[in-house]
Amino acid sequence: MGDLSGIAQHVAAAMQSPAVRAVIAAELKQAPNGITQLDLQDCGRNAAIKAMLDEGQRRGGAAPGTLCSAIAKADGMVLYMDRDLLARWDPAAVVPIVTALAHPGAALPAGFRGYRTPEETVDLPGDGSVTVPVLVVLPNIHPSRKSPRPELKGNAQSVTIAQPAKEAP
Amino acid sequence: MINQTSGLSLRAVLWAAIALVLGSRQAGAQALPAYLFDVVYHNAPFIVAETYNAFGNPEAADHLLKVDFDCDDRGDNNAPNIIARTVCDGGPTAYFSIAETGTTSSSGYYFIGYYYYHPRQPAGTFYVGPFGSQSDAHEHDLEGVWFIVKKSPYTPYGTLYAAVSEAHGALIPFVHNPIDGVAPGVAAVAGTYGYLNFWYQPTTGITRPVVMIRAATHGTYMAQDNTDQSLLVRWGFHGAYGIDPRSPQVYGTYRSTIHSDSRGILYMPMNGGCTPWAGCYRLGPYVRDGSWYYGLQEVATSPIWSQRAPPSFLFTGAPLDIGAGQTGLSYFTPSPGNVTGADPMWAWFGGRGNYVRTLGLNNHWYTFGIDLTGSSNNDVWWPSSPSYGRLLTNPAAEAGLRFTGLTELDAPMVYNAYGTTWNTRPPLPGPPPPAPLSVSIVKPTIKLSIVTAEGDYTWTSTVSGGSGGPYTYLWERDYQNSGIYYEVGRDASLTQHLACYDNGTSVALKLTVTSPVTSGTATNSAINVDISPCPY
Repeated sequence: MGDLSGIAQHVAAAMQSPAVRAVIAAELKQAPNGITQLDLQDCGRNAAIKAMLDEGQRRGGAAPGTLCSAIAKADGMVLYMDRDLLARWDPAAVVPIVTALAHPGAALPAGFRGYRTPEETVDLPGDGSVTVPVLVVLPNIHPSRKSPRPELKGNAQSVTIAQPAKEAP
Repeated sequence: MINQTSGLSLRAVLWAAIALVLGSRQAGAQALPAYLFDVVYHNAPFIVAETYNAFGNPEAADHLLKVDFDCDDRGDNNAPNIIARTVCDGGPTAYFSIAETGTTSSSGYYFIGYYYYHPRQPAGTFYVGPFGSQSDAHEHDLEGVWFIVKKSPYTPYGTLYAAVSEAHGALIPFVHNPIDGVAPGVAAVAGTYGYLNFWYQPTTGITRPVVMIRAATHGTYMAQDNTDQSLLVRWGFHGAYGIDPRSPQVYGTYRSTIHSDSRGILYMPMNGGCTPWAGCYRLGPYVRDGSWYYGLQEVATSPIWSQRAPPSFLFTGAPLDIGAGQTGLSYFTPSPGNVTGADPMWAWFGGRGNYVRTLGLNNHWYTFGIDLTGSSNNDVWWPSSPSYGRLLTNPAAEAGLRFTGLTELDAPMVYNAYGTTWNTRPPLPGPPPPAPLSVSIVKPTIKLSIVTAEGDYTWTSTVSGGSGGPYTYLWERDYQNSGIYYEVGRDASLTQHLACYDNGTSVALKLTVTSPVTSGTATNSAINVDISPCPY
């Protein structure tokens, strides 16, 4: 889970509350265009996310303000649930597993861990053969923040080219 | 002369009209769903494009351009126009195709092609025998990469499992390094292969694969990790071209090693087409390095697809059966008297490609860093497609031809703009229907529903359900019990002054409340007015 593990653990704590689960499930299902992601960087304004962070603190997590500040400083962060799993999720009865992927486009190992509770982790199959609801913290910028404005010339993110010691055709 | 010119012009117009009719999206086709473009964008690679130092116009040699950079769909003037710097739409662009299999959001695959067009291949050598070679310079060039992305319940954009890159006819396979633990068991069917490597892009939070394009010849490869120098680890003894995958996080820069005859441009994808207002610009004829954006344009909506079959101004050569009952021409059209060695993506079929010596001697393939022998390798027996067009029209079969260990390749096709299945994916879930809006009227508290004293009387409303506020209210009163209502208020509550001149009437109200997506109506039983004694 990498750097996002702490966020996932906090979310897992909040998910022990049926009321928070209901709010988050409703918020995910109401997301426009079938984008089943919540913009965690909206934690200062979104009531559902605030409720989740508050509940996480009540169950032993970090202070919501501190957490929200850290989330806001990240490059991007969303809370995602697969739309088919979301459609089957009964938030009144089922506590979802919470995990995080630091590099979702690149690396999805054969097996990894997710939080069932803040104290208990379970194995998740990397091949996607999961049937229980899984909330995933991802480092992506939410699609609603569709600004690709960049890092171009003059920015620290520029290409550095080193010449090879050995030549080839 | 005038008549001839006029005749050509008329014919050109007619051909263009016919091509537009024949070559546009098939009837009934749906536009690319937004979620699929998101998948394309999130998997779009960084591109390290070398720029050769021997040409005075690097735009004409190595920049990524549209096939209609000169604002016409003709292929026979592209090389002259780019040399003459006749460019009206020079924004860097990669074409893409996408197909989706699997009826759920986590089953099946996305098959995504990214294609890179250059108006010219200004240099190159084509081996024709054990001791001979010929020039491979030609007009037009189209190369690219084709990704096999497994859909996943853990990420909305899938996970890249394997890729092939087009380099001079061959489709070179790439998979994850086993030590990454990703997509275990997925392997190239045969031949030399490379690994997939990525750079993290801080401004988007996206980890993208990296592609490298050789200067002038435009052979395209997935970038290799050249950071390990030990013979025992990964790519320890190759030619050292490639990238440092950790460099964005460790150094704050994208570090890449390219050929000493070149400089390098770093391209990053736009979340859409290339538009100057969004920061995507033509590089121009002098740029050989720096960081730039490239736009993404769907093949299905580009001249490449609309001009694929005769009559065409962009392609020529023999018509090929590219599957799904469709035809595609063999080559890009060169200018008069010149040759083209460039073929469109439906003509790619892999195999040993062009850079092979014959007679079984010194089979030679240069793979820009995936070769374990330094500058070339001897094992070039990559598979050949049994028919044309399969990267577009039958992608699952093509994936199975080139890789082992891919499960769910039999998942049904649910979107493919190039085949016979356009979009059969179940619709994405929209917001759940709002609960019905419940509206009720609370009458003023009076005995027996009879008003016996003059004064102001207030009706209030209670509203619940629906999509939530803001609500609008419309109060109407029955005119003298006629069943005809007239408006008396637009607030959440209603106050009416009742006096003895209302004696003998009743007050029956109707309230209609509207929320943004639904509305509800309530009526109340009447109260009667009988004020006595009447003071006037």
